[in-house]
Amino acid sequence: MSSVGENQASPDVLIVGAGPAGLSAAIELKKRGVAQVVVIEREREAGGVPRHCFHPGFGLQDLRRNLTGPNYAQRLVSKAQDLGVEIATSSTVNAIAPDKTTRVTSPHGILDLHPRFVLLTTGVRERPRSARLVPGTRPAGVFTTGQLQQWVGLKKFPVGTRALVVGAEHISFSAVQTLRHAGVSCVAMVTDHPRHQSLWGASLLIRAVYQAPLLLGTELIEILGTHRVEGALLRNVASGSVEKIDVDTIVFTGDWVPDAELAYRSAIEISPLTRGPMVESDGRTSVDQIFAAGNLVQPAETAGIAARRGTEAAMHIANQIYQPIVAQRIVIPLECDESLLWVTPQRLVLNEELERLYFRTRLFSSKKFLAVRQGDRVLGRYRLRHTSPNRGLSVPGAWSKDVEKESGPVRIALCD
Amino acid sequence: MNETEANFDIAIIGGGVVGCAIARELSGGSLTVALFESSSDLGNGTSKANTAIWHTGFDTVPGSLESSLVHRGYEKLGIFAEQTGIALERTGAVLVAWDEEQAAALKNLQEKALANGVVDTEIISAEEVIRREPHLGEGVQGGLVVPGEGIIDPWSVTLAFANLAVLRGVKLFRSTPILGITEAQDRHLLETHQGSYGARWLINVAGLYSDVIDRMIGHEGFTITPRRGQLLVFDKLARPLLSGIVLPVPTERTKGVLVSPTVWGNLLLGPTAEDLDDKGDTRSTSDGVKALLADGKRILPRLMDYDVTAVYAGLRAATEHRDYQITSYPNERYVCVGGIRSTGLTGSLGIAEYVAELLRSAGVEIPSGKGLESGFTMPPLGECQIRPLQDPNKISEDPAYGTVLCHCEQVSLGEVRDACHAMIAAENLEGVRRRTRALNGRCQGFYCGAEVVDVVARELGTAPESLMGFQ
Ligand SMILES: Cc1cc2nc3c(=O)[nH]c(=O)nc-3n(C[C@H](O)[C@H](O)[C@H](O)COP(=O)(O)OP(=O)(O)OC[C@H]3O[C@@H](n4cnc5c(N)ncnc54)[C@H](O)[C@@H]3O)c2cc1C
Ligand SMILES: Cc1cc2nc3c(=O)[nH]c(=O)nc-3n(C[C@H](O)[C@H](O)[C@H](O)COP(=O)(O)OP(=O)(O)OC[C@H]3O[C@@H](n4cnc5c(N)ncnc54)[C@H](O)[C@@H]3O)c2cc1C
Repeated sequence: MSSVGENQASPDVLIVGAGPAGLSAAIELKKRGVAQVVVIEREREAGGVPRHCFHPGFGLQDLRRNLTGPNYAQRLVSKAQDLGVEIATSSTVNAIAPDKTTRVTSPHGILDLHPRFVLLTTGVRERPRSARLVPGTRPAGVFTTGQLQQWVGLKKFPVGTRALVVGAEHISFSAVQTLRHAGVSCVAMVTDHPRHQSLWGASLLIRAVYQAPLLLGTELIEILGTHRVEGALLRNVASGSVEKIDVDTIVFTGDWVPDAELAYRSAIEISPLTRGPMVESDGRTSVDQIFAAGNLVQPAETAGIAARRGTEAAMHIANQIYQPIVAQRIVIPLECDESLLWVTPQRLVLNEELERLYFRTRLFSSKKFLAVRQGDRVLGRYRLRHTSPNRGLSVPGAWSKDVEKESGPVRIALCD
Repeated sequence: MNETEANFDIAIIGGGVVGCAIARELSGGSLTVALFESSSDLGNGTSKANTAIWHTGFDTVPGSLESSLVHRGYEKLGIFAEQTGIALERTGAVLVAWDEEQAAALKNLQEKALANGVVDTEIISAEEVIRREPHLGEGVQGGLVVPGEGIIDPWSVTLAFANLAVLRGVKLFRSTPILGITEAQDRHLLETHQGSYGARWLINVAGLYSDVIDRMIGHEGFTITPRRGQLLVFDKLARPLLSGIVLPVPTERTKGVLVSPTVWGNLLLGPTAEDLDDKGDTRSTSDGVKALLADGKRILPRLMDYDVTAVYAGLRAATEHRDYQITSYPNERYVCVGGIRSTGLTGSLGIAEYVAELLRSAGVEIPSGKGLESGFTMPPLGECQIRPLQDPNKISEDPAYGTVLCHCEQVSLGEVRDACHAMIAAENLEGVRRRTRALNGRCQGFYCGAEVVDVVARELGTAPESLMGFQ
């Protein structure tokens, strides 16, 4: 555990959360010469979620290396520390007052810091069984992927013998791997969508390597068992037929929700779609001098994208530190239609070019293009690589220079 | 079986909130008292799964035993909670009428309240209801304010009673179901897996199974039909939507569901009312959940913007009678305390006092019950209290109180450790949850699940898998 020193009571930038987004932002701020950058992390170790993703595939985008999660996390931490970033672990940010007074609790006590800027990078979690309203008894043996990874990877605890995986997106396939690693056989994977939402070939791989059938158009309707999970009832959405499956472990995967309590408590405006803070194109929230980035804003992306978004927010914060502006900012809302689950940023700034636009579809669609419109004008039209729900999508923001002041909100939608 | 493991003057069967309240009341005198609980923890039956409302008893049946004991219990519990540091918030309640029929019923309810000794209710207009609770849905016709209603931490109440009882000499047997009862000359013989115990007096407070115990003694005073109540606990972020408890107006047709804050800062929606055959069926069902959500959407539409943190169900010990079934059989040295249906948390101290009276009048020497608390306090778990993580003194005394273990519920390592070593210690994760709130939050273990299991296994000296429900 490391704590915040006396001389860091008023840092230039305070970052909440030492995951890929927070650490990448800290590194960027230091590279740009910002003097005091403090990162507050509530876990004993910095690094965020990758700390417990014990498989390769991390760092490809930002570090140009293929690393395991823990190695990737360690590299980001070392890089930040080498540049002089202060990282306080076992330290929780409880509240940020309107004047930016930030209350931190740690084993050293309760401390108030007075940063100039705050960046929130507190990440996401998966919705647990209760939030998905899956009825039945309440036995042990019900996990989320995040919990399972820590269980297996960090603690090496035994899990069970036969598992059901709920969900069929990237993370769900990770869960299958983790189960396999723990010696648990994955009896089935279920999704209520008509197809899985991961990379092409993922289901073949699952079937060939892990022998787990992927049940499409199927939902989990009840959990059985007294002390321990003893089974589950699955229903075929189309036919309505119900089947009992014999498992002692159930893993709920994906279905992301930002861990946004601190943002709520700091009176930051929350997007009803992402359930994370609303941000402008540069990452600023509705509260002055507070920015947000990473999975907290975009639930959820790969670590590489979260890192990149952290870096971008840091660039904008550094700009504000060096050139405390200036002209009045004119903000135009950015909205999406029903075909999309969410879009971010939720606010465009007139005459500021947007880097990229990030969004998610709600369902698989035959419409393969995204249209960006303001009023009757089509600002852009982009062919999409896929329309998988739960899988990252983004398009360039070059059209943002054509946004007009008086023409109302910019709207995006899937189109033919 | 002639040899007994031990003999007691009084044996209490059932360690729910009522049984523990009775144990506390009867403790501290010259008589030996034992409390038998079948589960590994106290309050593991109906007492753990209720709506946690500190009832004035305004809508009980006037003149009933329940009415007088809830009234008495209400007063005593208010004082008790204050003395022992148990979270209790005097939020007040408003019964909201959504149609003409309900609006017309308010007057009768007010009179009923008066007959139950609740004198400070007030009928208010729709505008006034909305001023108090601005997030209510469309269609409010008026309301009845019951200022005395409040919310309480039900788990700590049961544990506090049990702790005080044990401190004052009661012998506690957990994981000890009473399997059968036989009669010897001057005592009852209680059969358990560990052997048999003798008791001169027997008090049956076995909740849903009080009819089964009653039959073991040879009585058939009543039959219990479990009435299930499913409840949804909403994210703490929803707490600002309500200022106090919003109660339904019961009519001939429906009882309706309530929305209430909890002392932990969540909002609670429920309960359903379903008559069942199975005394163990605490499942939630998709129909139950759907019905609650439909009601929630109507009562407090914005509640639907928030995630559900927990779904649970409790079983009311309903009988064919409307009142509590409390009967003393002095000749048999037996008191039956059954049918404590939907007010037992509030009524517990009133019931305990009444049972002590019944025993006294049968010539049993029960201490006066004065000064039972003697400075004992429970850990602060409520949002209205100062939790260890908010207390600089506590943290500087012991940094474990500044080490967050469960982030969502803000529970420190020190609290979880303490729960594992308390006088009536947690024996499993459930026990830790109820003593500390750890794992009860919105992430349900995504962040801290593995770490909490690690700490609890270490502190209890057991293997982690033994905490994961494998028998
Ligand atoms: C289970 C799981 C598996 C994944 N697998 C992969 C994968 O295989 N490949 C991949 O590319 N991506 C994967 N991802 C996604 C990737 O891990 C995330 O995109 C990335 O970690 C997001 O970075 P972040 O910095 O936004 O958030 P996080 O990594 O979640 O970091 C947030 C940090 O903030 C801290 N924090 C939160 N609140 C507070 C507070 N109040 N005070 C102090 N600290 C706080 C948290 O403890 C945490 O360390 C996975 C995600 C999950 C959840
Ligand atoms: C949905 C719901 C909502 C409610 N809301 C409220 C409320 O808001 N306010 C309020 O005041 N009350 C409320 N109640 C009522 C209250 O919860 C009960 O009245 C109270 O918990 C009853 O306590 P008890 O000790 O009688 O029973 P229990 O808590 O059921 O305890 C009985 C104990 O006996 C044990 N036992 C059974 N058989 C044996 C045996 N053979 N040997 C040993 N031990 C045995 C059981 O394990 C159990 O622990 C509610 C109830 C429900 C179901």
